[in-house]
Amino acid sequence: MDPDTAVTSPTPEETFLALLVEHAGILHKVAATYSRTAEDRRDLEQEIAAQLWKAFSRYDPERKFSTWMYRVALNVAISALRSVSRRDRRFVPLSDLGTEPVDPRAPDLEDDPRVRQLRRFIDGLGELDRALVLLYLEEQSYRDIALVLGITETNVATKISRLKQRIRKDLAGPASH
Amino acid sequence: MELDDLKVAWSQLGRGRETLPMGIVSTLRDGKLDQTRSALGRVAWVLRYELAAGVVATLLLGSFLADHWRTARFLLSALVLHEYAVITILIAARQMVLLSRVDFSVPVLTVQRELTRLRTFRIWSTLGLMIVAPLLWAPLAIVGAKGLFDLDVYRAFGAAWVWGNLAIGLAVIPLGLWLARRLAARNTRSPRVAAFMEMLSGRSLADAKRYADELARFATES
Repeated sequence: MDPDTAVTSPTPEETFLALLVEHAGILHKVAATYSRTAEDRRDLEQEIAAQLWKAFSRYDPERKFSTWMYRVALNVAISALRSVSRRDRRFVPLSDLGTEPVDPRAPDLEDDPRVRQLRRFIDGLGELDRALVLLYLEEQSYRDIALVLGITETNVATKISRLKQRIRKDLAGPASH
Repeated sequence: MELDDLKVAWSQLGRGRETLPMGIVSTLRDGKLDQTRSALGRVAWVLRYELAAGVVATLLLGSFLADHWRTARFLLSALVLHEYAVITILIAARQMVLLSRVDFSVPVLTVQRELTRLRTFRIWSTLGLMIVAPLLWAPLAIVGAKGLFDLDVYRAFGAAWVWGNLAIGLAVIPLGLWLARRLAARNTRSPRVAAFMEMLSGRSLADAKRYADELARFATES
C-alpha cells in the first residue's frame, strides 16, 4: 500500500474525545444538576470525564453513546453526592452554581421566569427523580430513560405522569408568582 | 405551566454550554485523566491501607504468638488482637470485592443498589470494629509492653490494672456513642469528622436504610 494514501484509524483517545466533544452538553447538565457549588461542578465534570474514559474500553459502539454516557454520568454524579456527609448533601439552587455559559454571547437567562421555576422545581427533587426529570427534559425516549435508569417503560411513564401532576400543583402555588 | 413548557427553559439553560472544558481536553491529551481523584477511588485507597495494616498486624502478632504460646496470659491477649486483625483483613477484602463489581456503565438503579450494599456493610463493620476497640487497650498494652520492652504488665502493675483497664474500656463504649450523638447534631467544620460522627451516632446507617428503601420504591412503584 502506498504510505501516502494510507488512512490511519483514530486512536481510542481521539475517538473518545470526539464523542465527548459531541456530547459535552450531557456532561454540563448532569454536573450542574447534581453539584452543590461551582467548584463542585468543575470537579464533578472532571470526575465524570475520568470515569467515562476508564469505562470506554467496555463501550459497545453498536449502542447509542448518549445512553451509555447518561448511565455513567448519572451514576458518578449520584455516587459523588452520596459520598459526602449527609449534612453537606443539601442542594444549592442551580442559580447559585455559577453555571456561566462558555459562550459569552449567550443570553442572560436570570430574568426568564420559566428558568427560575425550572430551577426551583429541580432543587426540590431527590437524586433519582432529578435523573428522571433530566432525561425527560433532554427529550430522551421512555425506552432510553428505562435503559439508563434500569426500570420498566411503564414505570417511566407512570413516574413522568406523576411528575407532571406535581409540577402543575407546585407551579400553581404562590411560590410561582 | 406544564412539564413540557419547562423543556423550553431547559434547552435555554444549555445554550452556550455545549463545549468541552479545556481542562478535560488537556488532561486527556496528557494521558492524566486516569489519575483524576474520585469518591470511589478514595474508598479504594482507604481499603488498601486497612488491608495492609491488617496484614502487618497479623504478621507481627503471629510472630509474638509463636514466641509466647506457652504463657497463657500473653497467649490470650495476643489471640484477641490477632483475631481482630484477621477480621479487619476479611472486612477490607469483602469491601474490595464489592467495590470491584461496581460498573458505572450499567443502569443507575443497579449501581446504586450495589453501592448501598457496600456502604451499609462498611458502616456496620466499621461500627462493630470501633465499638470493640476500647476493649483492646488492655491486651494491646500487655502485648506491646512485652513485645517492645520485654515488660510483663501483669507482674509490673498487677492483675487489678488489667481488669481496671477493661472496665474503663467497657465504660468508654456507651460514653463514646453518647458523645457521637451529641457531636453529630452540631456543625463540625471538618467533613471527615462530621462523617465519622454521623457513622458512630447511627445516622449514616439510617440514611443508608432510607436510600435503600427509596431505591426499592423507585424500582417497583407503578
